[in-house]
Amino acid sequence: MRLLPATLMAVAACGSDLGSAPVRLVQTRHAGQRTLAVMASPDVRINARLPPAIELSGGSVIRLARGRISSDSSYFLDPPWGIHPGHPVIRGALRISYCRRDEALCRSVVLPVSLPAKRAT
Amino acid sequence: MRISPRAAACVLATGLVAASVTNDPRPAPSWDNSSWLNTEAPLQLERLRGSVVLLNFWVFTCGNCTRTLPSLVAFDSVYRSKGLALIGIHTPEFPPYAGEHDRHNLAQALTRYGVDYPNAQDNDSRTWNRYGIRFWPSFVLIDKRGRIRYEGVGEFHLGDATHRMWERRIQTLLAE
Repeated sequence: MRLLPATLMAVAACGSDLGSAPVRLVQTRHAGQRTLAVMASPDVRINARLPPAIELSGGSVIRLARGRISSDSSYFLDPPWGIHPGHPVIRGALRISYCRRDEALCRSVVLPVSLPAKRAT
Repeated sequence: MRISPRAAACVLATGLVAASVTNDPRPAPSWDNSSWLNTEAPLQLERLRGSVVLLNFWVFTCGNCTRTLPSLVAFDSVYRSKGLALIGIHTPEFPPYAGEHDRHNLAQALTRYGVDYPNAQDNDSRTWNRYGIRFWPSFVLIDKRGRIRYEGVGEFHLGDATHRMWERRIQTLLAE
Protein backbone atom coordinates (compact mmCIF):
# COMPACT_ATOMS: atom_id res chain seq x y z
CA MET A 1 0.00 0.00 0.00
CA ARG A 2 1.39 3.37 -0.98
CA LEU A 3 0.36 6.37 1.03
CA LEU A 4 -0.10 9.67 -0.62
CA PRO A 5 0.38 12.82 1.30
CA ALA A 6 -3.04 13.89 2.41
CA THR A 7 -4.43 14.96 5.56
CA LEU A 8 -6.82 15.33 8.08
CA MET A 9 -7.88 16.51 11.31
CA ALA A 10 -8.29 15.49 14.81
CA VAL A 11 -10.69 16.28 17.53
CA ALA A 12 -10.84 15.54 21.20
CA ALA A 13 -12.11 12.11 22.14
CA CYS A 14 -13.10 12.55 25.75
CA GLY A 15 -13.32 16.23 26.34
CA SER A 16 -10.44 18.58 25.89
CA ASP A 17 -8.43 16.93 28.64
CA LEU A 18 -7.62 13.84 26.60
CA GLY A 19 -6.01 15.49 23.66
CA SER A 20 -6.46 14.61 20.03
CA ALA A 21 -7.92 11.48 18.49
CA PRO A 22 -4.95 9.42 17.32
CA VAL A 23 -6.24 8.56 13.87
CA ARG A 24 -6.15 10.19 10.47
CA LEU A 25 -7.67 9.57 7.07
CA VAL A 26 -5.31 9.25 4.12
CA GLN A 27 -5.62 8.69 0.38
CA THR A 28 -3.93 5.49 -0.73
CA ARG A 29 -3.65 3.14 -3.71
CA HIS A 30 -4.36 -0.59 -3.84
CA ALA A 31 -3.66 -2.46 -7.07
CA GLY A 32 -3.95 0.73 -9.05
CA GLN A 33 -7.21 1.79 -7.43
CA ARG A 34 -7.62 4.95 -5.46
CA THR A 35 -8.49 4.12 -1.90
CA LEU A 36 -9.01 5.73 1.46
CA ALA A 37 -7.49 4.36 4.66
CA VAL A 38 -7.41 5.17 8.35
CA MET A 39 -3.99 5.41 9.94
CA ALA A 40 -3.72 5.07 13.70
CA SER A 41 -0.93 5.87 16.10
CA PRO A 42 0.95 2.83 17.47
CA ASP A 43 -0.87 2.79 20.78
CA VAL A 44 -4.27 2.51 19.13
CA ARG A 45 -6.18 -0.48 17.79
CA ILE A 46 -9.06 0.05 15.39
CA ASN A 47 -12.18 -2.01 16.00
CA ALA A 48 -12.63 -4.49 13.16
CA ARG A 49 -16.11 -5.55 14.29
CA LEU A 50 -17.23 -2.01 13.61
CA PRO A 51 -15.15 -0.82 10.65
CA PRO A 52 -14.60 2.91 10.24
CA ALA A 53 -17.14 4.79 8.17
CA ILE A 54 -16.95 8.01 6.23
CA GLU A 55 -20.34 9.69 6.26
CA LEU A 56 -20.27 11.96 3.24
CA SER A 57 -22.04 15.27 3.40
CA GLY A 58 -24.30 14.08 0.57
CA GLY A 59 -25.66 11.30 2.75
CA SER A 60 -23.83 8.24 1.46
CA VAL A 61 -21.49 6.15 3.60
CA ILE A 62 -18.13 4.62 2.73
CA ARG A 63 -17.12 1.71 4.95
CA LEU A 64 -13.40 1.15 5.38
CA ALA A 65 -13.73 -2.55 6.10
CA ARG A 66 -10.86 -4.09 4.15
CA GLY A 67 -7.61 -5.15 5.71
CA ARG A 68 -6.18 -7.98 7.78
CA ILE A 69 -7.81 -8.54 11.14
CA SER A 70 -6.77 -10.25 14.35
CA SER A 71 -7.58 -13.92 14.91
CA ASP A 72 -10.47 -13.05 17.20
CA SER A 73 -11.74 -10.53 14.61
CA SER A 74 -11.59 -7.73 17.15
CA TYR A 75 -8.99 -5.42 15.60
CA PHE A 76 -7.45 -4.46 12.30
CA LEU A 77 -3.83 -5.49 11.89
CA ASP A 78 -3.38 -3.11 8.96
CA PRO A 79 -4.93 0.28 8.32
CA PRO A 80 -8.51 -0.43 7.25
CA TRP A 81 -9.32 0.83 3.77
CA GLY A 82 -12.06 1.19 1.20
CA ILE A 83 -12.49 2.26 -2.40
CA HIS A 84 -12.31 5.98 -3.08
CA PRO A 85 -15.67 7.12 -4.47
CA GLY A 86 -13.95 9.24 -7.08
CA HIS A 87 -15.31 12.52 -5.89
CA PRO A 88 -12.83 15.37 -6.25
CA VAL A 89 -13.48 16.29 -2.65
CA ILE A 90 -14.23 13.99 0.27
CA ARG A 91 -16.13 16.01 2.80
CA GLY A 92 -18.10 14.75 5.75
CA ALA A 93 -17.32 12.89 8.94
CA LEU A 94 -15.15 9.93 9.82
CA ARG A 95 -16.75 7.73 12.47
CA ILE A 96 -14.39 5.32 14.14
CA SER A 97 -14.37 2.90 17.07
CA TYR A 98 -10.98 2.32 18.61
CA CYS A 99 -9.22 1.13 21.72
CA ARG A 100 -5.99 2.29 23.26
CA ARG A 101 -3.62 -0.56 23.97
CA ASP A 102 -3.26 0.39 27.63
CA GLU A 103 -7.00 0.38 28.23
CA ALA A 104 -9.68 -2.27 28.22
CA LEU A 105 -12.51 -0.28 26.73
CA CYS A 106 -13.90 0.99 23.44
CA ARG A 107 -14.22 4.59 22.43
CA SER A 108 -16.18 6.05 19.56
CA VAL A 109 -15.39 9.35 17.90
CA VAL A 110 -16.59 11.37 14.96
CA LEU A 111 -14.05 13.53 13.18
CA PRO A 112 -14.70 16.05 10.43
CA VAL A 113 -12.86 15.18 7.22
CA SER A 114 -12.05 17.18 4.15
CA LEU A 115 -9.82 15.72 1.42
CA PRO A 116 -7.83 17.10 -0.11
CA ALA A 117 -7.12 19.48 2.71
CA LYS A 118 -7.52 23.15 2.04
CA ARG A 119 -4.19 24.86 1.69
CA ALA A 120 -3.45 27.76 3.95
CA THR A 121 -3.31 31.00 2.05
CA MET B 1 -15.54 10.88 47.78
CA ARG B 2 -17.99 11.10 44.93
CA ILE B 3 -16.69 10.93 41.40
CA SER B 4 -18.92 12.12 38.61
CA PRO B 5 -19.36 9.70 35.75
CA ARG B 6 -17.57 12.05 33.40
CA ALA B 7 -14.62 12.56 35.71
CA ALA B 8 -14.42 8.88 36.45
CA ALA B 9 -14.47 7.98 32.80
CA CYS B 10 -11.75 10.41 31.93
CA VAL B 11 -9.59 9.33 34.83
CA LEU B 12 -10.11 5.78 33.71
CA ALA B 13 -9.10 6.69 30.25
CA THR B 14 -5.68 7.47 31.62
CA GLY B 15 -5.49 4.03 33.14
CA LEU B 16 -5.39 5.21 36.72
CA VAL B 17 -8.41 3.44 38.09
CA ALA B 18 -10.91 0.92 36.86
CA ALA B 19 -13.91 1.72 38.98
CA SER B 20 -15.23 4.28 41.38
CA VAL B 21 -16.89 3.94 44.73
CA THR B 22 -19.77 6.24 45.45
CA ASN B 23 -19.87 7.10 49.12
CA ASP B 24 -22.58 9.65 48.56
CA PRO B 25 -25.04 7.48 46.68
CA ARG B 26 -27.48 9.17 44.36
CA PRO B 27 -30.72 7.71 43.11
CA ALA B 28 -30.31 5.67 39.98
CA PRO B 29 -32.11 7.23 37.02
CA SER B 30 -35.09 5.28 35.80
CA TRP B 31 -35.18 3.98 32.25
CA ASP B 32 -38.00 3.51 29.77
CA ASN B 33 -36.56 1.41 26.98
CA SER B 34 -39.37 -0.33 25.14
CA SER B 35 -37.50 -3.10 23.31
CA TRP B 36 -36.22 -5.90 25.53
CA LEU B 37 -34.85 -9.37 25.04
CA ASN B 38 -34.77 -12.26 27.50
CA THR B 39 -37.75 -10.96 29.43
CA GLU B 40 -41.47 -11.11 28.79
CA ALA B 41 -42.08 -7.49 29.65
CA PRO B 42 -39.93 -4.37 29.93
CA LEU B 43 -38.21 -4.08 33.29
CA GLN B 44 -38.63 -0.99 35.42
CA LEU B 45 -36.19 0.17 38.04
CA GLU B 46 -38.98 1.01 40.45
CA ARG B 47 -40.14 -2.59 40.39
CA LEU B 48 -36.66 -3.85 41.20
CA ARG B 49 -36.53 -2.28 44.66
CA GLY B 50 -35.29 -4.96 47.02
CA SER B 51 -32.98 -6.38 44.37
CA VAL B 52 -29.38 -5.47 43.71
CA VAL B 53 -29.16 -4.31 40.10
CA LEU B 54 -26.05 -4.54 37.95
CA LEU B 55 -26.31 -2.60 34.70
CA ASN B 56 -23.89 -3.47 31.93
CA PHE B 57 -23.68 -0.91 29.16
CA TRP B 58 -22.31 -2.75 26.15
CA VAL B 59 -22.56 -3.40 22.43
CA PHE B 60 -21.89 -6.64 20.57
CA THR B 61 -19.39 -5.00 18.22
CA CYS B 62 -17.09 -4.16 21.14
CA GLY B 63 -14.53 -6.87 21.87
CA ASN B 64 -13.88 -5.49 25.33
CA CYS B 65 -17.57 -5.96 26.01
CA THR B 66 -17.97 -9.46 24.65
CA ARG B 67 -14.83 -10.70 26.39
CA THR B 68 -16.41 -9.61 29.67
CA LEU B 69 -19.66 -11.50 29.09
CA PRO B 70 -18.42 -14.80 30.61
CA SER B 71 -17.93 -13.01 33.92
CA LEU B 72 -21.38 -11.49 33.75
CA VAL B 73 -22.98 -14.79 32.83
CA ALA B 74 -21.26 -16.30 35.86
CA PHE B 75 -22.54 -13.53 38.14
CA ASP B 76 -26.04 -14.09 36.83
CA SER B 77 -25.78 -17.82 37.32
CA VAL B 78 -24.61 -17.58 40.92
CA TYR B 79 -26.42 -14.52 42.22
CA ARG B 80 -29.74 -14.22 40.39
CA SER B 81 -31.38 -16.56 42.88
CA LYS B 82 -29.88 -14.51 45.72
CA GLY B 83 -31.40 -11.22 44.55
CA LEU B 84 -29.15 -9.90 41.80
CA ALA B 85 -30.85 -8.48 38.71
CA LEU B 86 -28.26 -8.28 35.96
CA ILE B 87 -29.41 -6.15 33.04
CA GLY B 88 -27.65 -5.46 29.78
CA ILE B 89 -28.17 -2.03 28.27
CA HIS B 90 -27.23 -2.50 24.64
CA THR B 91 -26.18 0.87 23.29
CA PRO B 92 -24.92 1.10 19.69
CA GLU B 93 -21.79 3.02 18.81
CA PHE B 94 -22.62 3.74 15.15
CA PRO B 95 -25.79 4.77 13.29
CA PRO B 96 -28.21 2.06 12.09
CA TYR B 97 -26.25 1.30 8.89
CA ALA B 98 -23.78 -0.66 11.04
CA GLY B 99 -26.38 -3.20 12.17
CA GLU B 100 -26.06 -2.65 15.91
CA HIS B 101 -29.64 -1.38 16.15
CA ASP B 102 -31.06 -4.57 14.69
CA ARG B 103 -32.92 -6.66 17.24
CA HIS B 104 -32.17 -9.87 15.35
CA ASN B 105 -28.43 -9.17 15.42
CA LEU B 106 -28.56 -8.55 19.15
CA ALA B 107 -30.54 -11.74 19.68
CA GLN B 108 -27.92 -13.68 17.77
CA ALA B 109 -25.16 -12.19 19.91
CA LEU B 110 -26.98 -13.07 23.13
CA THR B 111 -27.28 -16.64 21.95
CA ARG B 112 -23.65 -16.78 20.82
CA TYR B 113 -22.39 -15.66 24.22
CA GLY B 114 -24.86 -17.61 26.31
CA VAL B 115 -26.50 -14.54 27.79
CA ASP B 116 -30.00 -15.18 29.12
CA TYR B 117 -30.40 -12.24 31.48
CA PRO B 118 -32.57 -9.34 30.29
CA ASN B 119 -31.21 -6.88 27.78
CA ALA B 120 -32.69 -3.58 26.71
CA GLN B 121 -32.12 -2.07 23.31
CA ASP B 122 -30.94 1.46 23.98
CA ASN B 123 -30.85 2.45 20.33
CA ASP B 124 -31.32 6.16 20.98
CA SER B 125 -28.74 6.14 23.82
CA ARG B 126 -31.35 7.53 26.17
CA THR B 127 -30.41 5.39 29.13
CA TRP B 128 -26.71 5.71 28.31
CA ASN B 129 -27.08 9.50 28.51
CA ARG B 130 -29.13 9.44 31.69
CA TYR B 131 -26.33 7.56 33.42
CA GLY B 132 -23.59 9.72 31.90
CA ILE B 133 -21.83 6.75 30.33
CA ARG B 134 -18.83 7.38 28.05
CA PHE B 135 -17.21 4.05 27.26
CA TRP B 136 -17.97 0.45 26.40
CA PRO B 137 -18.24 -1.58 28.57
CA SER B 138 -19.43 0.32 31.63
CA PHE B 139 -21.01 -0.96 34.81
CA VAL B 140 -23.34 0.55 37.40
CA LEU B 141 -24.20 -1.32 40.58
CA ILE B 142 -27.42 -0.22 42.28
CA ASP B 143 -28.38 -1.17 45.82
CA LYS B 144 -31.70 -2.50 47.07
CA ARG B 145 -32.90 1.05 47.71
CA GLY B 146 -32.31 2.12 44.13
CA ARG B 147 -29.12 4.09 44.77
CA ILE B 148 -25.94 3.98 42.68
CA ARG B 149 -23.19 2.58 44.86
CA TYR B 150 -20.45 1.56 42.42
CA GLU B 151 -19.51 2.52 38.89
CA GLY B 152 -16.74 1.38 36.61
CA VAL B 153 -15.57 0.73 33.09
CA GLY B 154 -13.42 -1.73 31.21
CA GLU B 155 -13.05 -5.36 30.30
CA PHE B 156 -12.48 -8.05 32.91
CA HIS B 157 -12.34 -11.82 32.94
CA LEU B 158 -13.48 -14.76 34.99
CA GLY B 159 -11.45 -14.91 38.18
CA ASP B 160 -9.25 -11.88 37.61
CA ALA B 161 -8.84 -9.12 40.19
CA THR B 162 -11.54 -6.92 38.68
CA HIS B 163 -13.98 -9.82 38.47
CA ARG B 164 -13.34 -10.55 42.14
CA MET B 165 -13.78 -6.88 43.02
CA TRP B 166 -17.19 -6.72 41.35
CA GLU B 167 -18.18 -9.99 42.96
CA ARG B 168 -17.30 -8.65 46.41
CA ARG B 169 -19.38 -5.58 45.70
CA ILE B 170 -22.34 -7.66 44.62
CA GLN B 171 -22.02 -9.77 47.75
CA THR B 172 -21.77 -6.67 49.93
CA LEU B 173 -24.95 -5.15 48.54
CA LEU B 174 -26.84 -8.42 48.64
CA ALA B 175 -25.96 -8.74 52.33
CA GLU B 176 -27.35 -5.33 53.27
